[in-house]
Amino acid sequence: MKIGLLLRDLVKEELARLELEKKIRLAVEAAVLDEIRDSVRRLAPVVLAELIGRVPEKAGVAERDGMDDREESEVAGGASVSPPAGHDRAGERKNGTVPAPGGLKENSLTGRYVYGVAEGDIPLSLGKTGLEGSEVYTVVYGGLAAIVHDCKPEPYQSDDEEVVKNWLAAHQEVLEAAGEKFQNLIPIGFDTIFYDEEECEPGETVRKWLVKESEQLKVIMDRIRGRQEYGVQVSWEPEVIGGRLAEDDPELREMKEGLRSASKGSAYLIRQKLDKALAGTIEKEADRCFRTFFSSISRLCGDVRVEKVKKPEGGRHMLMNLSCLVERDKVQALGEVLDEIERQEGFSVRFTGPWPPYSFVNLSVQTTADG
Amino acid sequence: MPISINESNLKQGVLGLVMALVEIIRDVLRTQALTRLEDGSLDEEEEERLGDALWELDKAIEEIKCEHGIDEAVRAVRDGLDEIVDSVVERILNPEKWSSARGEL
Repeated sequence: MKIGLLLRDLVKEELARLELEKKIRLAVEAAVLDEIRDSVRRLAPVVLAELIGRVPEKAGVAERDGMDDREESEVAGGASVSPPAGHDRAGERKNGTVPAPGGLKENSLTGRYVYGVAEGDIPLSLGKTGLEGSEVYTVVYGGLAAIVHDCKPEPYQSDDEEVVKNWLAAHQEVLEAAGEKFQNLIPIGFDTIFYDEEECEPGETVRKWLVKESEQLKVIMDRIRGRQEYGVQVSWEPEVIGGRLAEDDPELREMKEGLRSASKGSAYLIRQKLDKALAGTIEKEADRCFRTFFSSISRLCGDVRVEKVKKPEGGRHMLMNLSCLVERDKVQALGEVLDEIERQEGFSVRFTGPWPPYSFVNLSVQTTADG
Repeated sequence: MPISINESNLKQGVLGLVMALVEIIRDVLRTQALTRLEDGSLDEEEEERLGDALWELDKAIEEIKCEHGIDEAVRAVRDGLDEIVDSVVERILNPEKWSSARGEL
């Protein structure tokens, strides 16, 4: 810093001695200023766009709410900036036309975003129900139908939580809609995109994958056939349960009695002892309940995954968190079993679904053609 | 698993850590006291004194935590330690899982 200032002063002094400073400034003003001004004008919107996270490369993000972004793009255009890559496409999509294939290769829709794989032979369209309103259709091969939409060969990424939430919701909705059309549907995780730049005809990469994985896919298909996934979460209030247990257990009751007549110091110790004993009793009871519930629930399920329990919330502790793969005609019976658990004092049950059977699809997807 | 201490509020962080350690020592003392109580090696007066001291300690800890508003900080440290212990126990109980996880690294 100091050296910089020193140099500047030296140069200035030298120029002043030569009476050049004024001349140079005039020359600069005449020749260079317009150039600089232009550059600034051109750069400013780009920098701004960068700052607010609408980088041209992330055009996929900018497309979501068309109006705002279009306006912004037009402002940028007015300042003689080449519009972001997504600008043209955003407009086209709004009009519902197919993007011109003449664009840059990485901007054309050569990727296939895969939602899931169903059993089926007929190519069909599910309408513009996909992410950002893209057209969802099936790529079929050998009795399997991949549910896809055309996208750019790059992942859907955004720092905006809202945008991601919308994507996830669209993904889920497509799976739900497809679930109504197809009996057996293997869901595939968000943001699974197939792309091969040497693809000769549209959809070839997806078809190749269907062929390569057909065995694995059919095994999974057999596992989930006629079944749906449900979430079962049983919680209880240890305080309520503990109170009941303390009444029933003679030893605990005796300790409670002793507490009344004890002096301060020993009362403290008795209370600690009581708490410890009670915690042990509650734990044993939890174990017993888990076994009982699990056996009556799993009897009605094709398959059960024991998931991690969530953290306690407001005095409620989660006793079990299960993902159940249930046949359609056993769902009601399962509901009845859960109702019975819920009727017990201190217990509550959350029964959610039907979900696409994510928990029972151990499918590792290799999205590149050569993989 | 790192124990995260809020750097923007060092006093809270350090105090939280100290109080967490005090609590843990208190828990050990309490367990020891209960063991002694159960095996009958304490006479009545000792029992009373021990219980009284632990009770005072409890009260003091609560007061300090309340005074400095470090309830959260203390819990965070203890949760962090619990997780570490859990993962150590897990490794001891499931050595195969541990070695395969290490293989992936």
